[in-house]
Amino acid sequence: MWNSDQLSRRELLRASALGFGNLAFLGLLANEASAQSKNPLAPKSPMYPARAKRVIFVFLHGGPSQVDTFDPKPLLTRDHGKPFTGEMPRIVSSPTGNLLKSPWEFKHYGESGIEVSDLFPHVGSCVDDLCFINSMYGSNSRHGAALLELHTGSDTFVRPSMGSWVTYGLGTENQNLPGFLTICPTLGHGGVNNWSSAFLPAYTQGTPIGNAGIEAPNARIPFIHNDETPAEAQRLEIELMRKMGLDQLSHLGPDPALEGRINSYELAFRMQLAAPELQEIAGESEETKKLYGLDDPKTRNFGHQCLLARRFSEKGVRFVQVTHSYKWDQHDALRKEHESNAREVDKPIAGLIKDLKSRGMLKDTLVVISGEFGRTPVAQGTDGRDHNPHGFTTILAGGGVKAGIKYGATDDYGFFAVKDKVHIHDLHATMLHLLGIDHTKLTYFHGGRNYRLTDVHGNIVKGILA
Amino acid sequence: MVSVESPDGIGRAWSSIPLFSAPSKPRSGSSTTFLGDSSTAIHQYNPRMSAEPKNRTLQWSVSVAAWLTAIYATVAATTQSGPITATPAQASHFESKVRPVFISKCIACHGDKQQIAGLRLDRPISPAMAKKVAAAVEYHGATKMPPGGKMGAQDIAAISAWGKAGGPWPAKVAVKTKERFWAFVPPTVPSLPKVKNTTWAKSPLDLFVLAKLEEKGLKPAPAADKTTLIRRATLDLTGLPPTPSEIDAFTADKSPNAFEKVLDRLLASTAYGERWGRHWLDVARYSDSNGLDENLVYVNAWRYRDWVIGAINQDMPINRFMREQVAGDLLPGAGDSQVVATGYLALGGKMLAEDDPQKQELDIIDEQVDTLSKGMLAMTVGCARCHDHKFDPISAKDYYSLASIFKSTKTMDKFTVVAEWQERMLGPKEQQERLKKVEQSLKEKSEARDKIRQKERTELLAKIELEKEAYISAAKLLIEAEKSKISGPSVSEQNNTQTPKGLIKEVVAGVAAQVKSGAPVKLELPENADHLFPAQKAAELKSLNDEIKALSDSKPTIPLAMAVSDAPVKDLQVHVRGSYLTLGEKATRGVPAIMSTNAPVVVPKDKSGRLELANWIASAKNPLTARVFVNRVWRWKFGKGLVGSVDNFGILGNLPTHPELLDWLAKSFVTQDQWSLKRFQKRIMLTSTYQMSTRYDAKFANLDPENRYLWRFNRRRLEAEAIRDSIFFVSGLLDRKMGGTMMNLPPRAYVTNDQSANPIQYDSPRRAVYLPVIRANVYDVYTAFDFGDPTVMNGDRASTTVAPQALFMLNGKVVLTATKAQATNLLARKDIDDKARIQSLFRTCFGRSAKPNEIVRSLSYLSKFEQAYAKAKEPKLSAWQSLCKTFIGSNEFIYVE
Repeated sequence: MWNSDQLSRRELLRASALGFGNLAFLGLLANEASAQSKNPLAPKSPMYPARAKRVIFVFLHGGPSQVDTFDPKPLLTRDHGKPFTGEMPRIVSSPTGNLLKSPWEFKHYGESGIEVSDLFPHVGSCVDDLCFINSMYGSNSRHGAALLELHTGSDTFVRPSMGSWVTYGLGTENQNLPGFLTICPTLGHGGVNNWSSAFLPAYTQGTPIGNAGIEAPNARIPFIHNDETPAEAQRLEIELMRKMGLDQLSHLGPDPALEGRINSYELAFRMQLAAPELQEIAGESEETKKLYGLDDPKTRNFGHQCLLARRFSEKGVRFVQVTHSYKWDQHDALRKEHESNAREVDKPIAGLIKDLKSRGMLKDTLVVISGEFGRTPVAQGTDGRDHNPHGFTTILAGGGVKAGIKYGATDDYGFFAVKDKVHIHDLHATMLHLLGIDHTKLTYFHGGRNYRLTDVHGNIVKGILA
Repeated sequence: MVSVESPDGIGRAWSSIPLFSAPSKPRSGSSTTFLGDSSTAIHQYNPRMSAEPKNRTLQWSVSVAAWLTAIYATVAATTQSGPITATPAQASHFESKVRPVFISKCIACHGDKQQIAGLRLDRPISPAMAKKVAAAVEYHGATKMPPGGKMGAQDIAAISAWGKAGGPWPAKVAVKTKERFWAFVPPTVPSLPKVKNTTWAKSPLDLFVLAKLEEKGLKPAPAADKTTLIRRATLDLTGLPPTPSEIDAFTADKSPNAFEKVLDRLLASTAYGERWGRHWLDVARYSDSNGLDENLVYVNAWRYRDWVIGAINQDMPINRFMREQVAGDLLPGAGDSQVVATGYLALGGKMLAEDDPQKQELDIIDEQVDTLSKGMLAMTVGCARCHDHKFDPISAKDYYSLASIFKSTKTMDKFTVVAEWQERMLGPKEQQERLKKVEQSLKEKSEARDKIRQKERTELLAKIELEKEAYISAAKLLIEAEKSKISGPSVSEQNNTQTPKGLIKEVVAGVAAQVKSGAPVKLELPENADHLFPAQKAAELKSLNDEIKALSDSKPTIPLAMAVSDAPVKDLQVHVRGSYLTLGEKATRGVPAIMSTNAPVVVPKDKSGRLELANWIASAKNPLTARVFVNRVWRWKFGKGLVGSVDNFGILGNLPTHPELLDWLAKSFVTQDQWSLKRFQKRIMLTSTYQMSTRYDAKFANLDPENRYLWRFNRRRLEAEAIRDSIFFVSGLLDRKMGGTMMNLPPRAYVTNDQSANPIQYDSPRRAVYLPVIRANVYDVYTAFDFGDPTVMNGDRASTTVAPQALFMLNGKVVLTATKAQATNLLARKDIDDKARIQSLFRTCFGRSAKPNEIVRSLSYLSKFEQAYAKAKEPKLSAWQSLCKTFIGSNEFIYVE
């Protein structure tokens, strides 16, 4: 196939796919000793009919304040400046003062009339498609532990991340791409552990595209490219390695690991063509780009992440995470910084919801929007709030979730979840349920016992199921 | 769908199930219904499965209700009077849903302290009593429990289901059932088995393997040829491929002990410690950063790594090796080296920003207990943190006995956020003493200085307060003076010609600023006010300052090591459900009872118990240590342990495929080799078993597809480090410098934050064992090739074949750099032609000569490539580099036959 004509990416991709038939094995073998020849990443049937086929997790790192965004508290406004008379949490991060009202107004939106603060007008315009869980709570008041708890279910040990569990349980639908992608993830507060497979098989590991320090348009999958070798030359190299490998196999006898490795070059080759193509958004309409705010420098970066999430989801990636990096931690400068942060994510998030909906994808895509915890209704300094894992808001949308509802509630000041409380374990249980997996049955035997994403906890939140 | 989760639906859901014998009807209105084959659900916790390789199965299963129905159905109808023994599935349900409720809500009145109504819920009860308990928690009859109010619906559902089924109680996993726990039975020297084939075996080891093969109808593969054997041995012992001249020397050596000579050479090379030390570093979860929440650099961790490499190279007896890591600092004659060894206990990942310091300390202790018990004893003691171990005879009390040893050990300096781990001083004692002295007198001098300063400041402030009005007037004058100037120095910079005599100009300036801003006037002294004090005091302060500076300058630089030391003795109480808020009985420092019947451990009252723990682990009488270690060695040499679950010899681990062989190895390692790893290595490698080829046999592959009985040698992929080292080695770039740190970071600096990773340089061509291991941001080459997560110990790395590995071979910087150098070197050799260059590539990379067709194929590749790149800058070099890439990327390079 070598000739002087430059082959286009697409042609190469096709040539490679045709030339080697159905050799689409991302991780042919979980273990070399295993004689298993089935592709572990092949799509698997859920345990019972699934409402969602894939997940997009929008993570707002740092702890967005619930009382300033999606959980309005009139009494907090009324009692502004007075001491909080309830019992404080047993463990607190920092000293705090009196009640601090939200500097932002809340408005009713949509037919559901759900109130959203002025920080999120675009998200406000989508409320009829969203489900607000106002009664979220977790166990840990520190970023690192709380991130790990949200991503893995454990604030104490290194455990597989939820994306890994989902990939383990359901495989993936596009064999040219990893099953679990995380776009521009944070490297702090647990870093890789937030997308690691821990003791699950390596093919379930999240594949990072760049990190939070890299602008989304420049983010790349590791080793996806080198400047020195043109694709055509790589084609030659893979051909030769394949010949050498088959030669060796012919006198060694069958060996699935060796065969798998020969095939893995084919997949790698296809992946390095497919992934950059998916990351190339030039073909998107101007309208779509605007929808995500790509025309505004303030929203461009996160909008790009959200658009990539839609593109990857559309192509069958099972679990995609986008991260708005560590910006939401307003111990002070709440007014200025929350305003600025919300500006960066409001339009892109709304754009994602609207785009998924207009493409008919929202019905079987579960979108989860959350921070690792919320913030206290009591002030830290004069213009800040401390960490608060005792009550915060998580937004769900899409596959199998009731739309246009609020679920659960915090107390009068928005400090503690009090009604229909939803622990992070419950969120995980519910996410798996929507994907057609019983969280108590998705287990993995390791180090002497069976492990679950929800450990020994987790209750499905029935009230939000459509 | 019926589910225990729905708070309102629960009572109805349960009562609708006729005594758990038939699946219930789905409730309307719920989203999905799935009542599958209940038989699949109950295998989850069946210990009998442990004898077979298993583990990796998904539990596609049924709803919780149907599952409970299934697990309790079998005993629901029985009418026996004594307690019913739970099936494994019931036991699992009991442990997770029923017992925790008893512990938190019932035991206070129905436990060891009180037995109101004669009921104890900490031991098995009769079916009749169980049914009464069920009725009581349901609030159905006259007795309503707990008296203070109904339990949560979920708890009621669980107890009700259990009670109505007659209260099946898990069988006591007790010391008396020790037979089931083979690993606690001390190894004995087994008699040698009889075999039919009398020519194959070269050692007793071979007899055990052969006997098993013959028993299973298998035959050993023929011996590997010499080129295969030297490549296998060299990569096994050093992690590097043999050079062509080493291969030539071996093939030319026809003496009967030719291979033994090779082994002696390899075992004596420093590369041996770098390879085998790295194996142990997996077990020690070695890392150069904390990972977890706050990723601070462990700037001194490398000393422990170098200690391991050194110990392996010096062939330190393995019992000593273990002992030093647990309690080196407490051994007679302990020096720096022994202190460094205890880094083993200090290197764990810690939640450094934990607002709850008690939880933090217990988590750190837990990590130590877990790492040590898995690494040295292959026991998952950590499971007993929250409850008695479900499967192994380890009680929560055992756990807290062990934990008490580490509670009485100092690992941390501070538990506040961000917490600080301890680092111990190394070097000559006099230097350490000097530093301590200097620091002490620094402290004294600083305190003395601060005391004088504070007193003088207070007095001076009181004095000027009397002149407040004068200061305000002076300040106003100053402001006027400034206004009258069009441009000039600001108020605060006015010279003292503006300040009336006797007033302090800095104070005037401060007041002026306050007046200008409209703030209330408050007299304040400048930060450094020494010169304003009375002359004698000022002089005193100056001389103290000079002394302090001189002392700071004279501080000796002392190397530090992450290490532990003894702390005040403190025994813990059992933490019910793992929480320090619910304390149970007291546990005293010691080791788990079942493991120490053969060698009891007594901890003196005033000692932490760490030394006693170390001695017990290192004892020949310990039933586990030697077995666990020889099994690890077997795993690293053969790719799979005789006990497959190398980190778990408990009942949920695998049974040994060759129990007698394992015992024989353990016994002979202790008695014959005197715990010498080098001697042990050599004994294994001189056997027929080790020297078998990997030859495939369709019949045997059918009988034993996983090669559990060793009918051939396992073909294995190299580990991440060996791949990287081999690439640099064959390209001639490998830097063989040993030891030291490659990180140039201040102590406790962050290596990752939300935005970026600290620029750790991985480009160095030094051996991979010396590259920093950064938790939460592991080197991408390591990540691709199954290095695993260095936060947790792991004696059994995975070996996957995933696409990122192929991407690394195609695009990785290491590969591109190395192959460029390799191609350049080859082309620089003017003494040989292209054919010979290709031949050299085969010999260097694959350890064998090229076949004629392979030379032809390579030549044609080069010419095809060169033509296509005719216009490129260096077509010849590009073509050769590309050829080198195919060698390094091929299976033959990274697999060992």
